[in-house]
Amino acid sequence: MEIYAFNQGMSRLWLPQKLLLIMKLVIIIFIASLMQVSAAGFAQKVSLNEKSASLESVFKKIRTQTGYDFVYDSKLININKRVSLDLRNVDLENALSRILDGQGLAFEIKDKVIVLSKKAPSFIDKLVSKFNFIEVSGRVLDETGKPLPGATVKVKGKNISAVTDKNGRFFISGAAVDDILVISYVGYLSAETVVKSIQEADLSIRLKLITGNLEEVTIVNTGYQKLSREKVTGSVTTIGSTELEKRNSTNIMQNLEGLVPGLVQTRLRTTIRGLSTFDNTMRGILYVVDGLPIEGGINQINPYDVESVSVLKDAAAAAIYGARASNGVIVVTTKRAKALGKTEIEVSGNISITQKPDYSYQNWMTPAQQVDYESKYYKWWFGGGGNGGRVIANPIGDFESTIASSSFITPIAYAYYQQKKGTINQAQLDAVLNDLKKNDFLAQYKDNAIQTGLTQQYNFALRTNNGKNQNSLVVNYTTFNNGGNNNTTGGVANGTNLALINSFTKTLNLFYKGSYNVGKWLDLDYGVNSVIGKIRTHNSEFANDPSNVPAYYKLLNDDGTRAYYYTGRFNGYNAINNETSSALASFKFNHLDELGRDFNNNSTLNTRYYVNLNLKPLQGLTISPMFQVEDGRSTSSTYSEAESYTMRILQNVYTTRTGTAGNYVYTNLLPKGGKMTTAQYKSANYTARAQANYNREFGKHGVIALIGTEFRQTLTNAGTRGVLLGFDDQLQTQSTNQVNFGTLYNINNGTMWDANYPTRQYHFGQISSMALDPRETKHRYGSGYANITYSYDRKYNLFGSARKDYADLFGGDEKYRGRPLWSVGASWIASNEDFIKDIKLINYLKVRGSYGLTGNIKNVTAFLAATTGTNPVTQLPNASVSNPPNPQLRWEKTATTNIGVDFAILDNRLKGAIDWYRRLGTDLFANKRLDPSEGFTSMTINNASMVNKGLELSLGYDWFRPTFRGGFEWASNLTGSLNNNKVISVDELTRNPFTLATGGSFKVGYPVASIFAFKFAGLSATGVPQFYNAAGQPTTASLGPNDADAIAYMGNEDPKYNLALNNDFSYKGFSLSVFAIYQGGNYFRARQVPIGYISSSYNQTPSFVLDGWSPTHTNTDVPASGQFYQVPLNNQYYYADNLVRSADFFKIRNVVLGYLLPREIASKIKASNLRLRLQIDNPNIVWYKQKDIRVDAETGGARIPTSFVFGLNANF
Amino acid sequence: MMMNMKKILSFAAMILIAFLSGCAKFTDITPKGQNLLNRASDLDLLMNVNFSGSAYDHLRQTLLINDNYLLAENVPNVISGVQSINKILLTYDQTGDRAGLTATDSRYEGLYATISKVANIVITMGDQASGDVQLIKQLKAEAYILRAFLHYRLVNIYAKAYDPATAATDGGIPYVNDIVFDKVNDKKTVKEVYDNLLADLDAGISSGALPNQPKNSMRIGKGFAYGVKAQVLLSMRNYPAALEAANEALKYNSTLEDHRPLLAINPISARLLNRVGISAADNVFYAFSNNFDPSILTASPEVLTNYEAGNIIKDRTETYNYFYGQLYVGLTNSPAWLAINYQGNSAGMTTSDLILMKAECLIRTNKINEGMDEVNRIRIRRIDPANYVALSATTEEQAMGYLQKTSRIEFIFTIRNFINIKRWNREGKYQQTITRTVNGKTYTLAPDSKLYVFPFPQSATQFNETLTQNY
Repeated sequence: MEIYAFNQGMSRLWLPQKLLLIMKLVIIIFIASLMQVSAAGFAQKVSLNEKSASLESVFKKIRTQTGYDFVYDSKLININKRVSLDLRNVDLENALSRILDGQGLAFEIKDKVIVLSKKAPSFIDKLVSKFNFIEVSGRVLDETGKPLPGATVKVKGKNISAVTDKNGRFFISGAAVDDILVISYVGYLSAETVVKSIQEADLSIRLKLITGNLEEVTIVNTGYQKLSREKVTGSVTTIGSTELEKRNSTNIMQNLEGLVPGLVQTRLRTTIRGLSTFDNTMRGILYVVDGLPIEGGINQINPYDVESVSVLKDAAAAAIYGARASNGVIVVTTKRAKALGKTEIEVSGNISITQKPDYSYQNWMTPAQQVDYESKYYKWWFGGGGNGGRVIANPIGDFESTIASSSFITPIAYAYYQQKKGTINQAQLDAVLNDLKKNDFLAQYKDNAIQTGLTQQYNFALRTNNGKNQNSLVVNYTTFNNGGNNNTTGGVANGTNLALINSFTKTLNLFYKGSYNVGKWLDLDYGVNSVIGKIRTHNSEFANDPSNVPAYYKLLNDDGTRAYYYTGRFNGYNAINNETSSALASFKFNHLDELGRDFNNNSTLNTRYYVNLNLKPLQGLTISPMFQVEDGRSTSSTYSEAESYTMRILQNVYTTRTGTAGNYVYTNLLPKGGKMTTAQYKSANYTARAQANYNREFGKHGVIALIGTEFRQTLTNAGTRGVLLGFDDQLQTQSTNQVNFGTLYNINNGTMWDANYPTRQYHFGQISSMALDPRETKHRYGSGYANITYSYDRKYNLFGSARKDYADLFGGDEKYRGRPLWSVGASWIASNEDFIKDIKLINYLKVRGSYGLTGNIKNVTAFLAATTGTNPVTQLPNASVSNPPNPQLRWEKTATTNIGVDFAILDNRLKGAIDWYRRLGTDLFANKRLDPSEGFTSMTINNASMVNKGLELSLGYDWFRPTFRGGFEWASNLTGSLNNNKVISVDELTRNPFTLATGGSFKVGYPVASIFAFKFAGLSATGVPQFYNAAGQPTTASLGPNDADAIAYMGNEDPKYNLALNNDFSYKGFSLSVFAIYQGGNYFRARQVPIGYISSSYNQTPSFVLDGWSPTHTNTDVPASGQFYQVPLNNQYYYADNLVRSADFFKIRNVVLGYLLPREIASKIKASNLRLRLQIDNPNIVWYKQKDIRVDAETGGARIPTSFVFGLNANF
Repeated sequence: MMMNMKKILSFAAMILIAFLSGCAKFTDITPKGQNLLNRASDLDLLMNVNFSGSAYDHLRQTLLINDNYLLAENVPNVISGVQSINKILLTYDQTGDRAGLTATDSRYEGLYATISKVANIVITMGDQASGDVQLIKQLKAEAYILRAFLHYRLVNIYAKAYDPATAATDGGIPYVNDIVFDKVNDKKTVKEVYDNLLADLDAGISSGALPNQPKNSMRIGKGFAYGVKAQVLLSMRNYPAALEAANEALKYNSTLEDHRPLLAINPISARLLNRVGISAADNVFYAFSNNFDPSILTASPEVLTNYEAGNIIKDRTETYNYFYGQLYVGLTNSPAWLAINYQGNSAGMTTSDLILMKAECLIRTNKINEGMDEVNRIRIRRIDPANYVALSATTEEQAMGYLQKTSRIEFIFTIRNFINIKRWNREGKYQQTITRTVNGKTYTLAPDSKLYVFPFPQSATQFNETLTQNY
């Protein structure tokens, strides 16, 4: 224990108190001198040297020395009160005073007899004791000088205690000089300090951590209140900044992976303890930042500025969020200035380099394979077909009519056509084919259009704290050379990093927050956080995707110039290409050209403002009004240059032609120039909350309670979309007013080169995207809530909460509009019991249990109302009634039971928690069927239920603890969770197997995210896929309602088990962390759906086509393409069981090597701390349970590419 | 301490109560973008229904009467495959469990949806709505006609055709005319349904509020109102009254589609059929399944025999394509109709309906020549002038024979053929036995086959016990 006198930071505000203390001191000295006077006149001298002696033994010694006898009632003597003193030749009176001081005894000397009696406090005594009770104030800090909020400060032997506030500050009135203060805080060694005199009225007490390396977060922030972990009865996992900062990420959720048992992140969704609702739109986790819920999303949080993240999992933890808590709550607390009287500066920079996508996961044909495959097809086709396939009666005629249309024609098809016509010979044909085989479009695209991913993150934080006023300014700038084309479908596998040239994502996050301590009765928090985002993506319909041309094309010619070709929408052999007129634009295409001409620029500005007041009118009581506004703006502008392919095609399709060949007259219906499309919308959300917290200890009793009310409004303003045609960016001119949209709309099908071209379908939307989008939506929520934690003797805690929520369930019966939600919990800190205290093995043991209700809501109207739309045929606005009135509409309800144990054993080496839970969701929104003559086939009402049962485990073990500073250290941390999800009741909507297979329906007894599949029964003798019907017979027909039982349950799409193992090593300044994860027990549709291709396709073509059925190749499950192609009878193969595989996988997620530079080096740049980091994300250390398909089980596509992160962090 | 706690708790409770009453008020807001259906203009928007999609998909009905085969489904495979509704309809299997195979039916669901969510709401809410009184009157009139039209379609699919002798006992369909969504809609008899149809038509027409020409062909004007009335009366075999209604309807539109201009285009491959669905001049009311109806449908060889020599579409254009027919349905003698720019009015009403109804009424009231003139008004616009000869008849039977053949082609691939054949079959006099030959095997559909009555889907019968099947 160290006690530091604290003299700095005494501000002028404290002066009156100081004066008061001086006055008290003067009075005390004066009274003491009076007593001194009255004690004179006695001459018996006593010498004593005692250490912790009993009074009786002291009395005996006095009797021996003086011959005076003692008379007293033995009940007056407290044998536990021992005496320590050293007296030399002190007169008797004085000695007795010293001995009896603090014993509550008075004495009287009568004729060599000393009579002891109970001390009746005199007026003066009372006065003295009154003045002796000074107000003690101080701060509790950790070893590094950070304040510890929530620490308990008790006066030993008195019923006086206090809890430190968020600055670690406490005030105690009623303590006296020489009283002992006991300061305790979970996870830290308790400390004692004596109140010596007024000089120590502003104490600074430092606590030491009980154990070394794994920093345990001991304050649980639920967003509504901060509780010491000891008092919590619910299931909460809190991750502190030390743990979060072990690895670098761009998103705080990535930092949480593997650290929170029960928090499962997959490509499909992020869940806390499984799915709790059927409705996909109601599955969002509630994010709370610095106490208030935010709408902006977790990506608005700067990951460098997070102090801690608490994941609230059970009802006792989350019920205070009431009707939005069913999906779990994540509470983020941002950093604040800690060190007192010091300016902290932190600078960090990280650069990540991410590999280009690995197209091998797409399983496409190589260029040579595609050339051979196509050659074979056209050889057969121009040969008149037949031979087991369909007959091509008139190949030349058919082909020439294709040339006259806009349908694509590959150079191979054209070469075979020329050979058939006799314009080229076989040798020339072979030469064409051989040339094409040398090309590799994909490789060129990868080299020239895709960049290695480069993410740069810079973070600067400036924090000051003078004890009265705190200020933080945090600036984060992140730039990424990728416009967000990841995980799109267009030919790119899931999980791929597609950093296309000329695109970027830039984010600037500015956060200022401050707090001002007006007095001990009031402080104030305020802040502004702005996130400014700019994203540039490509607008071209074709250039983003290298798969939309055949593999044997070339992007660049051999001399490096750009090659030109046509998209699949046009063929270059059509006669229109021979026409030359300024009215016509070129149809030629090159991916790289378009990646420089056609951009979408999106800019967002999201700002959050907040002010919180903390009023402390009485000891233990805090009243906090809070107010937060979130203001979101988004503007998107898409500029397609006049030269862009988008505009060239628009110009051509909206050009009419009159006259005869050779003398055509063209009329452009669109003004020449570019196109600017804009879209903007705004949102404004606010939350207002007023809350009273009460926190006091009365002896062994402790009460923490809160009561409050909250009003929220979310508002998305109506957005507008507009388009400017004939736009010129340089001149800033446009000529949209010349456009006759009615005329253009009337061109439904047909262009001058192809009478069947679907002009309206492809293009009208591109020039007329004027709309109100989104429509204005406003939602309001109002709630009242309260909770109380009662604790006794630091062993037993009882908890209860209640909340009532109202939402704008429009038209709903008022009785259902508000719903009371409540929870109860209890915990027992067994390790504080005397009978366990003595067991050396157990350092900490806590058992807790809770039960409670949380809710979820769908914002649907309960009233008969219609939504407005547009009749696409008449183009007139219309309205349609989408749901029948449902006045009984109410909140979904999830009842959670949780039982958990927290423990630390073996000298705190092994620490962990185990939780068991059962979450029963009732009144869940699901469809209930009606006779369709009511107008509705079903209505969404609260009529389904489901259950999630699970186990969660987290374990940490210190293998090696350092024996000296910088010594070898190794700690492991394991988290695991098991969840079983099951539908208990639902109106089983259909007996139709297809609906079940496509996930449009649920089945009682199976998980919500079940994968159901048709049982594949091989290809028939004619190559048609067959599936087993309910009777177990193979059939090629579509299965109907009678075959509902023929469909097989394959498993849950969501993982059943999640395990994560993190190992941290450190030695000297070096540290190494390895994060590994395992997900399993789930399934996914792993295989590419083997479908036949009727002819050659103008794409990168999947290689399974080569394995297609033919009369001579029947040992396959891939239907035939080309010659033997048959139109599929149904889409059942898309949902066949032979495509499904186990999704179990193990991955090393991150390897982080850190180095803390020696102080001597750091100090050369005036840094107090200088840390270097090398991190490898997603190294190719993976294991999949299924081995036969080249697919990543995590993404369902390509493996997440490896990234290398170089980081630097400095503190000043 | 207890005192303290008590005080705090009661203070807390007081605050809570005060705030909770505020919450209820705070959350009582009217959302934007929601049409509250209480103004004339709100109801007008409701009437802008998009009459397209699966509710107007009558392929099962046209498959039954052998106008066409399945939509892009291999016919031999379906016939050799497991039991399915399509297999029953292809093979005229009287024994198949159709109700068991009909889990849902988009016609039943879709047509009733418009009745309940549009017509009945306009009729019910109209009286309370504020705004233009004349507009409300018009909207209600439109809604009455719409309700009659949709019920007429439903009763013709799910019940026997109207027979004056048995209509009072033949099972019909629910006639839904309220907006009480949780009350079971009882099945009515065929007669009750037709009584309701006439009552609704009268309510709509007698208000006088219907426009002469609706603002577009998905809205209802006088022409359509009288057209529906003519259909209902024709079904009830009241030919004089039906004639009167058809003549009334023709006052508002009598323009027929004419195929002869196609002949001026050369080469033949350039003779592309073109019809802009919503604005076609012959529309009386426009409704369809796909906007390329009837493209991709394949005609049966049997229905093709009804084409007269020199028919412009069949013989003078490349609309019918045997290659694609084989690709779609696996049969070499069934050509696919390919004309994606031809947006046929497959489920609404055109002037052809009016003309042919007029013709039938004339023929059956002994005005055979006048009736044949009307039939020829259609034929002359369909047949190459080089081949065209005006037809005349001496007997009602002969005239009806010409009319049935012309009508079959005029309404090929549409619900009209099903309704007409079913009507004539019930009557007995002009009944037809339909045959279908697939790969050498012939299937026969008797005129009184119960297959003409389609099963109520399970999605309805499970929730409405009055819905016993009508076959």
